[in-house]
Amino acid sequence: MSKKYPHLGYGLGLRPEHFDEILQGQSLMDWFEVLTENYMGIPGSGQSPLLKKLLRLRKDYPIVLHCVSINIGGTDPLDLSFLEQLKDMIKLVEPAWLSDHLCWTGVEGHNTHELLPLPYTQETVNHVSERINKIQDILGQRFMIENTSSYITYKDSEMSEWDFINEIIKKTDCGLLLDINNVYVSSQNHNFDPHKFLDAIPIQNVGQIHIAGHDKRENGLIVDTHDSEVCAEVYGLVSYMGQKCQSPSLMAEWDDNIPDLKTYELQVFKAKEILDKAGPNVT
Amino acid sequence: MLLNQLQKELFTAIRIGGDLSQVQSVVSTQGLSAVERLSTYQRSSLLKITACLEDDFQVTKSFLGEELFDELSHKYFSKYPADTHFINECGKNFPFFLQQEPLQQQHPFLSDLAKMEWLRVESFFNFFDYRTPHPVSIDYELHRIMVNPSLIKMASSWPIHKIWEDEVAYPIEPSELFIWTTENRKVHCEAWSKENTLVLNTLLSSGTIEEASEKLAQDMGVDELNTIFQEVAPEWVSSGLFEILVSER
Repeated sequence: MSKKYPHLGYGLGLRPEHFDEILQGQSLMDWFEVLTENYMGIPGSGQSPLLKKLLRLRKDYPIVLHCVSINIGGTDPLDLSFLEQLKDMIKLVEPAWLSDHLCWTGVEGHNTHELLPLPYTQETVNHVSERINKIQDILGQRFMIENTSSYITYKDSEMSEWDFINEIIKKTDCGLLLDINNVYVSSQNHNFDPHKFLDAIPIQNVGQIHIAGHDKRENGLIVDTHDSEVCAEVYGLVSYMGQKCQSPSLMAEWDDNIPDLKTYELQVFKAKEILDKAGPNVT
Repeated sequence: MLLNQLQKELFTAIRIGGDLSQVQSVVSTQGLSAVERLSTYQRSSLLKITACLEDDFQVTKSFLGEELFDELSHKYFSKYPADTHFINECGKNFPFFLQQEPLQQQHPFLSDLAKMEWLRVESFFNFFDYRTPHPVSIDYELHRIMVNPSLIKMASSWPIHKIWEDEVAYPIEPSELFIWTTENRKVHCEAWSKENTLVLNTLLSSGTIEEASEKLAQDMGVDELNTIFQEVAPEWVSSGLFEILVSER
């Protein structure tokens, strides 16, 4: 049976704009998630001012490291030197856990800096699972994967996204970072019932929940922009999850048109209120 | 289609200006064509890296104008797709790219200007290496020179470091630009006369003031050297190019 992730409470995706306020004790959050690559890539052995601030913050709060470029679904060999750098970051920051997206980001040594969806095939399940197991071996800890939002589907796909995730988790016992906004965005873009997704995923492996805002384009596509408030439909899915299980650590993300800290925190408090009311029917 | 083939197909279409309508692996659904769906990724990917390039090459952009800069950015990213995990490194080949562009003949200083801007970015990050432990003290008294680790030098025939100043006709002559960052995270870019540059380079490559003086005494008179030491060297120290540390007994 999978070991449960610790419950950190309610948090935020930390953005540099809010660093000083938070360091001055003006946040009501329990924990923070940071985009790992933003604190790496500094030439030499020095520490950037941002990393220094993060280490100060770490003294007072649990931190979770969230990556965007391990390229879990990529077909290039895993970048071992990058994974070694990640190990150094883990030693330095001592995060509660480390995660990245279930996607591919580049090929033949090139990076798109986009989170591109994978075809849901048995070939991909085997390929990705092997890489996740290798990552877990190298990092010496359990790894967490996040379901991404998507705007395309592939001709070759043989199964649903939730079956794809289930198959990978069966083979790796990795954690699942459940992004409820991504579930909603993909459900609208690919015409499926988001509740079906939430019913099918292995709840016991969910260690963290993301919520965020998105944007509906003129052509009807919903784009995962993280530039606005969390919508009612996403809160509805949070409530649905709350009725199914004790909520794992939950946090909001906001990456563009970033608001003041209080508005940002409000997204999380709304979810907390919903979850407090919902209460699990099943534990 | 094999996963690797699928990824190559998508990468070519999204990042290096391939024809989205030729992509075989993506389905058109819900009244939206595969091309419409794929273009969301194409736009988003380009927007992120172009924003990064705009941040790092603000003066070059201002000189070229928004439209031309955008056109060149798109061409640059098709030719030099990002190859690192860190998006803030995506501009590293931009000066070299500009050097190969026909526009360079019209504006021969263009690639130097972009290179200076890129070195400013590198210098900014190099500064975080600063404040490493001071050298181990030795048992006799010398004036040790500790060079600011963010210092980067570049050669240019153009007075590009004056581009921030009011429009003035500066002479075109070969010079060495010194780019460095200070504690307040300000990035400096400066050039000096031939004689002063020789003195500065000798100081920077010597372990101590005494060693530098000995080397310089062979090339210039003691009076000239003293004048430079008294008039310019304090400016170099106060502007954070290097520190002078007196070894403890």
